[in-house]
Order: sequence, then C-alpha cells, then structure tokens
Amino acid sequence: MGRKEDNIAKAMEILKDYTRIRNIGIAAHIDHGKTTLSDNLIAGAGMMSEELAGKQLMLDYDEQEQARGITINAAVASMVHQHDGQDFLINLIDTPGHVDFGGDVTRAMRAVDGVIIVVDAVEGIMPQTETVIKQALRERVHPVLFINKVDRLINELKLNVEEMQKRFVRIINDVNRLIQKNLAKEFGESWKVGVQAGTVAFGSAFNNWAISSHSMAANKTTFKDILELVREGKQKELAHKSQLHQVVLDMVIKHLPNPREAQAYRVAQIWKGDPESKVGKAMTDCDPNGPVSMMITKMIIDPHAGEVSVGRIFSGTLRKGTEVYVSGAGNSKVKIQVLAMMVGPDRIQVDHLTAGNIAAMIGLKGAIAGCTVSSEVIDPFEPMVHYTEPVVTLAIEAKHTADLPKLIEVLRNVSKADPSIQIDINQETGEHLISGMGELHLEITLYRIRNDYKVEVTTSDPIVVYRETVEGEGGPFEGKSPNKHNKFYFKVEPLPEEVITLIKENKIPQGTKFKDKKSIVEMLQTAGLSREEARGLVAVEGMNLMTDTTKGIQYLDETMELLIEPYKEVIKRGPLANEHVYGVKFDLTDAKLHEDSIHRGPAQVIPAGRNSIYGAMCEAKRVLMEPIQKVFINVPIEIMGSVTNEIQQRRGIVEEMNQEGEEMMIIAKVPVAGMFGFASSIRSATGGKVLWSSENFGYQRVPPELQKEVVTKIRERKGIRPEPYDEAYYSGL
Amino acid sequence: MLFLIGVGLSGPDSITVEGRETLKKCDKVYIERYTSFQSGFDSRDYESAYGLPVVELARRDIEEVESVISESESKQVALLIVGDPISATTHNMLRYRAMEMGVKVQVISNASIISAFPAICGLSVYKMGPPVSIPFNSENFNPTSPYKKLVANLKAGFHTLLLLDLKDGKTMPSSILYDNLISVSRRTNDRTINDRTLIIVGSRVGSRYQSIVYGKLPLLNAVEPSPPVSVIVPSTLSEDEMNFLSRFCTEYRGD
Repeated sequence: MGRKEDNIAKAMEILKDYTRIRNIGIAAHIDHGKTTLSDNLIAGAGMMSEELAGKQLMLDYDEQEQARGITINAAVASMVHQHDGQDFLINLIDTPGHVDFGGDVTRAMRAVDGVIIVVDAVEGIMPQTETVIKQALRERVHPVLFINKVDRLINELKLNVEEMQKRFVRIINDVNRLIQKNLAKEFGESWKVGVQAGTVAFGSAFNNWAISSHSMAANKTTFKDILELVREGKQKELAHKSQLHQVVLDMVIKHLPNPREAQAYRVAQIWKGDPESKVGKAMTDCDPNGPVSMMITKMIIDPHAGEVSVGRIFSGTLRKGTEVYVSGAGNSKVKIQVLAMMVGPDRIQVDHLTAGNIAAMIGLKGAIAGCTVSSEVIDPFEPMVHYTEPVVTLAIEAKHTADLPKLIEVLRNVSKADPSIQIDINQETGEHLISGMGELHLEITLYRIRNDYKVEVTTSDPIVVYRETVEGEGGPFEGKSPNKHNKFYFKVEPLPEEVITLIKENKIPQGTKFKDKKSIVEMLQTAGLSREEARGLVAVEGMNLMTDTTKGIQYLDETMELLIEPYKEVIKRGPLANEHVYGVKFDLTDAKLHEDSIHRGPAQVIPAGRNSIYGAMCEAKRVLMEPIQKVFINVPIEIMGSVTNEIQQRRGIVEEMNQEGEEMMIIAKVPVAGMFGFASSIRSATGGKVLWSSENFGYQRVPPELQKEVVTKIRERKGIRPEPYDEAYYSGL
Repeated sequence: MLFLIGVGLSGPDSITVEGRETLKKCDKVYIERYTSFQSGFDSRDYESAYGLPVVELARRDIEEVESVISESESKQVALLIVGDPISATTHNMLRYRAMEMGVKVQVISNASIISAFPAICGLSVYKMGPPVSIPFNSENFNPTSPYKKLVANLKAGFHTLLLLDLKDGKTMPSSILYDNLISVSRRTNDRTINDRTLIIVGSRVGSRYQSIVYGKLPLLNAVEPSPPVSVIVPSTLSEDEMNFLSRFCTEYRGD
C-alpha cells in the first residue's frame, strides 16, 4: 500500500471522531503564497510526492489556474497528520486570492472553522489580507498567522535579527488590530494571535520550512540559527529539521477548534432557525445521530461526473444512496448517487460521512453554491454575504445557431457553479448578457465555456456596469395617470450611507415584507431617517428605499402594490442611461386617487408613479457612477515612469508610491472603463518586469465633464434616444 | 363646436331625434366604445344607420383629447357615446377641457344603464345606493374597496348596481365576478356577501334582446349571459319591489 492509500485508510478511521477533525482554510493577498503553502502541507502529509510540491501547485488543478499561476477554484483536500501520537484529519479548503473571485472566498469560509492567514514578510498586510480577515471573522472562523517568505527578508533585504523581529511585531500587531476591529466583543482578546501563544508561525512555504515558538523550543533553535542557515543557503537542511507541514499542522491542531467546539458558537451566526429544535440542537452539538443538515459551499462541474456539490455537514450522517432535501429545488427529495471526500482533484468514494466533515456528492439535482441540504425540511442557512457586485458585462452568442439550447444550459451551469457570475437576458434584443467581477473573471469564464463545455461562442467587447444615483433633493414631483384622475408625488434624495450599510449587512432585508418592523424602524431612525420616513418603510430594492409619508389617503393601501412596480422598474432602468439605480430614497409624500377602482387600475397607476419618480430624479440632478479598481503594482524603479504613464492614460490617479529595495510599489485608482487591456499593455510597457494585482474599490462619480458623453454612448449602444428626457417631459405625460 | 351625443341602450336606433338631427350638421363624427358598448354593433352599423362616416376612437384618444377638441375649434364635431353621454367621469373631463380651451359643448342626453336597469327590474329609484365598479384583479391589484362599498350599501338598505370592468370589448364574465366577490369576502373575513345573497343579472339591458334573471349568488356560475352584462345586488326589497321583480323578471331556481 502506498503512503497515499495508507493515509486514505487512516482518514476513513478518523472520519467518525470529530475531536480529531479540523476544517481549515488558507487565505491571503494574491501572491503571498497560499497555494504553495497548501501544496507543501498536502505533500508533507503524504497525499502527493514531495518533489512535486511547490512546483505542481496541486490545488490549482484547473488547467487555467496553472497557466495563470493563480488560484480560481476553492478546491478541497483532506490529509492526515500525526500530533502527540494521534492521527488527525485535516480538511483544507484553498481559497482564491484574486479580487475577481470574491464570491468563492466567502463560501469557503462557511465550510471551515479555522483559517491560516498567510502574510508575505516583505509586503506585510495588504488590502486583501484585510478583506479576508474581515470575511473570516464575520463567519466566526478562528485565525492563526503564517508569516511567509522569511528567506526574502534575509537574502534580499539583508535584515538582521532585530530588524526581522521588528517587522514580525508590526505584522502581528496589524493582524491583531484587524481582529479586534472585526470580532464580536464576546470573544474578547482570546482570538488575537501571538508568538508566545503559538498561534504565529514563520517560514518559507516554497523552501518547505517553518518555525514557531513551540518548534524552536523543541529543537532548541533560535532566530539567529535560522538566519545563519538561510544565509548560508542551507534551507534544505532547515526543511528537514523544521518541516513546514509539521510546524504548521501542529499549530492548526493545537490552536484551531474541532467541528464541535466551533459549531457551538458558529451555528447562531450562520443559521437563524430555532436553536432549541431537534436540528438546531444537533447542529450545535455536531451530532452524527441527529437529522442531516449541510451547506453546499462549492459546485464543481466535472466533464465526466457532471455537477459535483461540495459542502460542510453540520449535523447527522450522510449516506450514499439516501435521499435528501435541497433548499430552493422543490419539495421532493433527491438521491445522493455518489458520496466522496476530496483529495485535490481526486474523489475518494465513501459509504457515509458524519457531521463535521466536508463531503462531495454527485446527483444532487438543483443544488447551487449556498443552498442547504437536509434530511428533513429545515430553515435554510443564512445567505452568504457578498461585498462585491458585477462591474463588467458582455453579450454572448452561440457561433452556430444549433448550439443555442446548449449555450443556455451551459450559462445556467456556470452561474450555478459561480454565483458571482450573473446571467441576464436583454429584454429588447434577446441576447444573453454575462456579468462578472472583472475582465479577467469573464475571460476565465469564457475560457471554460469554450474549453470545458465545448461551445463555440462569440462575444461583444466587455462593457462597464454603471450605476445611477442623484446628487441632491428632487420633488415632490407630480406624476399624472393617462386618464389624469390619479396623481402621485414622490420626493427623492440620496440614501444616507448608514442606511446603505444596514441593507448591505442584511440587517434590513430586501423586499416588502419585514418580520421585525419595529426594530427596523429604530435602526432606520438611528441611521438618519425621520420618524415618519422610518415608519413609512414600504420596500427595499437593491440599495434603495421606498417610504410612504402620506397620511390618511383613502384607497392608497390597495394601490401601494401597483406603485411598487414602477419603483422597481425605475431602479432597474434609471432615467439617465437605463443603468441600475443605487443609493436613492424614494418618498411618496402625497397622492390623489380616483374614487372608483376601475379608474385607478394598473394601466393608470404604473405610468403615473413612473412619471413622478423619473421627474423627481431629474430635479435632484442625475449622476452617473462608474466602478473603480485599486491597482497595486510592483515595478523596478528604473522603469517606473512607463507604469505611471500607463495609469494616467487610463484616467487613473497614483495614490501612493513606496520604495522597497530596488522595487517601487505603486498604488493607484483607475476606472474599470480604463482597465480594459491593461494586463497586456503594462506587460509590454515594462518588458514583463512587473507584478500587479487589483481589487474592486466600489463606485465613484463619473467626472461631470465626461458624464454627458458617457451617457450618450451608453444610450446609443442600447438603441435608445441619445438624449435623456428632462423633467418637463415627465410632467407633460 | 363639440356635440356629445348619447345613443342610448339599443344600438344605432336608440339615438334621439334631436341627436339624429344634430349629426346632419356635423363635419366629423366620432364614436367611443371604451367606457361602454352595445354588443352586436360596430362602427359600420352606425355609419349605415346614420348614412355618414363614423370614426372609432380608442381609449388613448379619449384620454388625450386635445386633437378632437382642437378640431372642434373650427368644425362641428360629434362624439357618439353609448348610453348617456356624460355619466362617466371621462366624458365630463373631456367637456371641461373643451370649455377651458374655449370650445362650445352641447350635450344631448339619452337613457343610461344606471337609471334604466333598476327601473326595468321594478326597483325603487329612492333606494339606489352609489354604483360600484368591479375591476379585473391582477397579481398586484386586488382592491377590497369595491366589496366594502357594496357591503356599506347593503347595510344602509341600498341596492347596488355593479359596473363590470371591460376587457377585449366584453364585460367581465359573471363567473369571474363570483370568484372576485367570494375571494374578497374570505380575505377580509366579512361574509356579508355569500351564496345566499340575492342578485339580479341582466344581459343587453335596454335593448330588444334583453333578458333578466334573479336568484342566489351561485347564479353567476350557472348562466353565461351575453354581454354587456349588468348586475344589481338588491338590499331588503319592499313588498312592491318584490312583486314587481317577480312579475317583470325571471327567477332562477337552480341549486
């Protein structure tokens, strides 16, 4: 029996004992080395050959990922590690670091209880490190810290022991500041990381060594010894003495919680059902004998097996061949055809898996990433919060008309596997639109459609997803119905930032039904709305609010549903360029309604409401917003000029420049509209001597002097009148 | 000059002599069949009956009447309206706007379903409450006010004429009216209207093809009256009214 097979046998043994299971993730800023770390951990645990580790990038099993050298899918690997004479099973979920794949990171966090935060010793905390720490803590995932690329401090920056320690202290303090800021108070100081506590390790994932206070004490080594070994080029020796996987996995087992410990405090955060119910108790206790509850965190489309659903079992035992409910997929049960654990791209089939484990299943019809799987009908898990919305879109067509049905099916699958991909149909033209987090995100999705699904497609150039909002107050604006017997008066103004935050955090839900209206009204008042507006809350749509502050208008109650229609319609098609409206408060201040119900039906009320809202928005000064990316560029100082030049040509603004040795670190803000083709032009401008990454930085106002031109372009592209209508038009309707 | 001419309840022939004489001096004749209609006739029947071209207006034109009104500034324009010409708010709005624009308006009245139907059934005009419109419901439009108004009439001892919404040139089918009333009674938990409620259903009332039956509410599901359909929900009937109704109309004795 090979070592891999031997380990699989051991893993089967451990599966039943949750005290010996750890579900962990690795999260970091791009290029800080998490995939290398994952591979060396897996290799060290005997799940792949040691020579290949660090070179093969096992978790990057998608051909695309290897070609680009970045991780796209959060793949899963299970490994066995011995600690204090006992075998432990560690389920590792790798998470992508590129900004374009934010959705995958959030979902991976739901499956794990602990996370290794990887920080590059040279670069320190980067914006995405901050984001992943925030995401982990939101899901109550316990962090430990691995400071990577320590050899670079020694060999490239030539630091001495004191300087090195100073740098470590700074990184650790930065991480702890983030933990303090983002963690619920009841956890106090206990989640902060520290060298003495053993929750920080240092090393080089690439050279396969690591140290911690624990390992240094056991091996009687000091920082000085390490520094000398690295300086003398003896990292191999170090890798034998202080193996990466030993040190890091020991830290994981000792300091990260087992599923039961974690579920005791995590369930309340991720599941809002009754904690005293049978399934609620089973989840808190991680009870293998309770009803099954699990959450699907990842869909993999396998060319042979089809859809593979991967998720975390929170209670009960999954058995091959049994039937389960899938939330959102109808009321009938579906059969688990194949049950497996994942080792990188391999699936090892098993007969059953108990609470606390990560399972892969084939046959779960209707499952999507984020859905709940259960043996009885239960409340679904809390939806996973996404911070990012699509910023780029393109039209896609099958090259051969005969492929159209297949393309529709493929698009459905693609958005199922990656919910941050949005598929829409343009109602006017009938073409399919595919939207994502960035140019790269769409490029990779298209690559998959062409190569994995084998559909030949043609696409339009990528287009920026704009937003519309208003600058000031507008209205109350009179909107009349076609029969002139009904009039509505809407007032619009920007929605306070505090309210947008409440909606983003799902404290105020979308829609028109509010369970706990009283507390919502209180929150809205605290966030800056007047008492009347807060109490008059009607509907939340996207980041917009509709309120009704009228008093005692007869028949308005039976008209309100009709009035919500134009409100939603306007949000989907703003008055400037038919882009989505963002961050606007719509307040109905008055209404005049015909006595007789036939005279105030849909054909009258909907256009009247629309005219009033559009007109009020015109008065409030319409503003076009565009997505911005923050771009981080590492470039040798002597060719830095070509980089800043490239940025300026793309309407970008350089925000920061920091010298680090021979390198210059440039941070700039560039509109997404200017980022198309950036990858190749920056490469040719610098002769390839550049490392860069980017993250979405939200929306900013299109410069006022450009707005008219951009609006006209969008309108022409959409085939509508180039000039937007003004308030006189809406009051004349 | 704009003439609003009622054509009554029985097709082209029920126009008054005054109306007929007025048409002779008009340069342009329109007909509007949105707010009310007579089945079995289209604009060509009016053309051949009156011997002049008649242009039919769609709903939109009635609501945006500027062009008809401005045409009336220089010409003699007639608008033919089924029943009485100004019982609907829409037509008084037209009249008002024409006068605001300095156009003279003359109204030539005719019979209206609002007075004709109860009278034909033998109901006392003194006991009629406000009529109530019943609209088609949709996903986001399910008003309860029509039902509440009907109930208020009943409780005050008033009879109620129901004006049924039109779609595709037909009045609401009586079975949909039944579903509408019953579903609102359930939703509002007010069982004032139920399967024992007395109703009168008229078909093509005021024309020579008229037929009127009365009975309990499920009658609405049992018959398929040809449009236009009119319905009255009577309150408590006096002895005279009871006698008249049973003599003038047919009682439906289904289940």
